[in-house]
Amino acid sequence: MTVAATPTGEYPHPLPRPPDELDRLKAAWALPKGWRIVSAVNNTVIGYLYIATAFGFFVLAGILALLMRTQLAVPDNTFISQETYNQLFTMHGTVMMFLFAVPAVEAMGVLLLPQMLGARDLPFPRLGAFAFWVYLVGGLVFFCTLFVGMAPRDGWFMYPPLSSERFSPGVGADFWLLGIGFIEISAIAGAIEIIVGVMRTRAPGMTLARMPIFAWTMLILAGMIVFAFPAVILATILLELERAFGWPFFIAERGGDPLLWQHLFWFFGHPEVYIIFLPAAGMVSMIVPTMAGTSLVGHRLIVVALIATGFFSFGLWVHHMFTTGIPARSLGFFSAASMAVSVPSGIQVFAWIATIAAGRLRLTAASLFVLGFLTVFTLGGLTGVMLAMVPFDWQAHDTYFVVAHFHYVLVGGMVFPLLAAFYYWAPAFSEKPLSERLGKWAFGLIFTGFNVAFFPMHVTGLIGMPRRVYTYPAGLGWDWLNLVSTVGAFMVAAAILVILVDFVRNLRPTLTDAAGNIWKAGTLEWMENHTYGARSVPYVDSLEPLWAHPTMVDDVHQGRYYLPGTNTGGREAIVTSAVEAEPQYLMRLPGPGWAHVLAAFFTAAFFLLLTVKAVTIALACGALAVAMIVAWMWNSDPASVGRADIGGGIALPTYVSGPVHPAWWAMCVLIAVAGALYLSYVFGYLYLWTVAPQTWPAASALPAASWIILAAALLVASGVALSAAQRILGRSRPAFAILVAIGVASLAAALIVDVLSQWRSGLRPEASGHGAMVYAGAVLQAQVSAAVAVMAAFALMRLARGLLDAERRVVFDNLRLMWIYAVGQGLFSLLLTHGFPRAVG
Amino acid sequence: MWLAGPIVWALHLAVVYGAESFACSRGSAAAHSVLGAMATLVALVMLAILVVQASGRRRVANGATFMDRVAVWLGVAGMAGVIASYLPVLMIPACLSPA
Ligand code: HEM
Ligand SMILES: [Cu+2]
Repeated sequence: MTVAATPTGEYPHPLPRPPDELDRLKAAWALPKGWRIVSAVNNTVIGYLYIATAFGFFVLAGILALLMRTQLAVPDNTFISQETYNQLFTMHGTVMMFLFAVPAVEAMGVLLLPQMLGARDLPFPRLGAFAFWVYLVGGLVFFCTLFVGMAPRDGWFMYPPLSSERFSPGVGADFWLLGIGFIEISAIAGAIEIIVGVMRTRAPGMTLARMPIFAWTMLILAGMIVFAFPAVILATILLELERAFGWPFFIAERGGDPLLWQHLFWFFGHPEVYIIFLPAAGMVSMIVPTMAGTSLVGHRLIVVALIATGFFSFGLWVHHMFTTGIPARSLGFFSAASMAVSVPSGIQVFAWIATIAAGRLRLTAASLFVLGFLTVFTLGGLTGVMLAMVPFDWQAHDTYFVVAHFHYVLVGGMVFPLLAAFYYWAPAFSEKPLSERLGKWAFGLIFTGFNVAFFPMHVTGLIGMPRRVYTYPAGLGWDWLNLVSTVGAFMVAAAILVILVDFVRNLRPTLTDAAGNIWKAGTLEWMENHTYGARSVPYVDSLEPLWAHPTMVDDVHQGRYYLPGTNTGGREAIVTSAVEAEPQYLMRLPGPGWAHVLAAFFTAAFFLLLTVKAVTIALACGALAVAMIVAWMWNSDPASVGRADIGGGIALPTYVSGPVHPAWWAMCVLIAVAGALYLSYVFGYLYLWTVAPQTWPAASALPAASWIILAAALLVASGVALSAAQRILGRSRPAFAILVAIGVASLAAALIVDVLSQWRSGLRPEASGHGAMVYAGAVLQAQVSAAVAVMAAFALMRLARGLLDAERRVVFDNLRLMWIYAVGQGLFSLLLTHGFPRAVG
Repeated sequence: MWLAGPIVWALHLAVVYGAESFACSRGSAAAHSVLGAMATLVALVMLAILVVQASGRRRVANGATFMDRVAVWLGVAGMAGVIASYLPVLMIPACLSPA
């Protein structure tokens, strides 16, 4: 007689299970057949596609690197022209960072998280699928610009003034700004999915204390995306406004400042490297205990270190700007922080080493990649601390020393762990594991090749070779070092080839008979892995449930734990509380669909057509995208069907609203994104004021106070209409509709009044950095107001159909959150653009 | 509340860095040093209170207890971060052009 993991020691369900239970479960989660698989939303399918695509971009960007290394092999080479070389390094860096690294780690989350958390799927499967399709279409088009010579060529960080209309005419820079800008939207969509998934769909009993480190890192990664990406999205909006309409945000003669771009870009760009590294650390934290056969040493300390790293990484961005003439004391702040952040990273490295020492490490291919990661990443960290010292950075800035440093961190901290992850997790998802022999060969080649390629670059850099040069003259002592680097690069390529061969020979993705837990790991992703995840949802009472309960895999498979079938006949997920993971709600998940796929295509078309200035078709595609999103959302709020029994005497509601509902959480995260975008804007506004106060108007030139009072009154009226609508919801449909309409109209009117007042006072966006900022604020307010308008229209449509009432109100709850935010941001904007100049004027 | 340690650190950095940018373009360098000292003191006191409170808290729930411990360590990390950010104020004169 075995004892269940549950607190009572009893299984939630008796055996045997009803004969048709499993078939009904299978039917609910069945995949669409044939080419219709495109409409699938299961996290495993999307996860496979996501990872394959990301790896594909890695190979493509790697080929670009080989082209560059070939050009640099010998001095005065003419293999590649200067113009092409510029496009190559820009595309290589951009594709590696935005189309490989970030999507790859998000993809690992999409694939692994539900399994690891004991969930059936992520909470918003279509959102995850949408994020993937946007990324695939957008990424491919972006990459193809290279073949027609329209690729950007201003480096992966796109500094103005080089990237301004004046010095980069043509559409290359626009492709970067719009293309990358909207791929970031996909990253944010993925982040929302991951945050809500980790917080709300963990198996019962998996409290935060029992959550695997990988899930922690994904949570922190997603949180960082929410706060970091808006900064660069704002930057791309501003630069695109400057390029298209001449609003001088970054033009110094007209009260702008190119350094504003650098601040915004690096406020994103530095956290970005940790966004890439943290999940990799999470993967390593899963692999090491299994391979060493013992629990992770210092689990809690690692969680602390991860959170601290995530936060501190936001306080380092100025270390990319040490040579821009910022006051010395400010440099000191960021130098100190840059050195401090190495402490939590060091803690993690020591914890892994301690775990390896505490257990007995099996030297598998995965372990080798982990060891490679530890050495290479640590070396990169050391040169990082060197570069954090301001005087050293003044010497090494923009030389090959920096190229060496960041490749040690990126390849060491991300590529090695990812390859380790492939070798480690393949048996959980493939009929056969990958070949240990080929894996070890690949490791030997890539470890040697990488160091042969990049170690000499420290030296080439220190003896003066700048980065981003397409060739160099003979006789400077750089020749043989470069040749060695090129040889190493080809060794890396050979390693990747070996890995690809291994994939072709052994990787057989499956949803029925995976090779299984060949490493004897202790976490839940090693249970069976079907379209529906595992047959039943276990109760989790330790960090390594499969080690603590040897029979768990079998018990889960037989359906002895929670929710062994489907209650409603459709796809379902148990939603649990955020900290203690107590079951709260049985959420019904959507199945396959086309609307989200089409929405992704039209969204991509909208942005890409804007780039080539095909405005009319772009707008049409934009409208179609919105229509598709409405169609996709239409069925996402099914009505209650009473309580559902998940076993063990637990009956969960099938409808909830308010903070218990995952959609509420998603909305809060989305609002955090909007808030971060707006805060970046406030920073930009104040920043331009500190550099160019002379362009700020005197109090007398500002719009009269009566205008501002009117705008503020309209905003307040909008808020009042909202709260009245809320009170009347479910009682009078016409009155509700009228109140919502009035509220939305006054929100729009407030914006119009504000813009008119500025315009009539003579302020023009092209005139000065200040003018540009004021109107940019209006653009942001227009964005959130438009979001409120669309959501309100959606709510009214559902109201008309009788799908919205006092009980069934999640759609309204979401609208309300966005609306409150819009009113708040509007009021703050008035204070900033009218109040601040008066206060300082 | 669990994140109070790093959040206080972030606010402190924003104040000392923002104030220096402002002081150097508009106000006075001396004001910056005073402000920096005050902000640091406030931040450290807040974090100390937080650490003491969180480490004294006793709860039965597994997840909540864990997060209390995490909060304590994050508070300590935040204090270290605040001190690191303050060192430049002590060591480097304000508004010194680096070149
Ligand atoms: C292992 C194979 C790789 C090789 C051989 C390689 C090679 C190169 C070369 C030759 C450059 C241009 C240096 C210059 O002219 O200044 C470069 C730049 C860069 N690489 Fe890689 N790289 C590799 C992997 C990666 C990975 C995995 C990432 C990121 C995850 C990455 C990110 C970058 C970035 C951001 C730049 C800077 C681009 C710019 O200057 O705008 N690389 N790499
Ligand atoms: Cu950095």
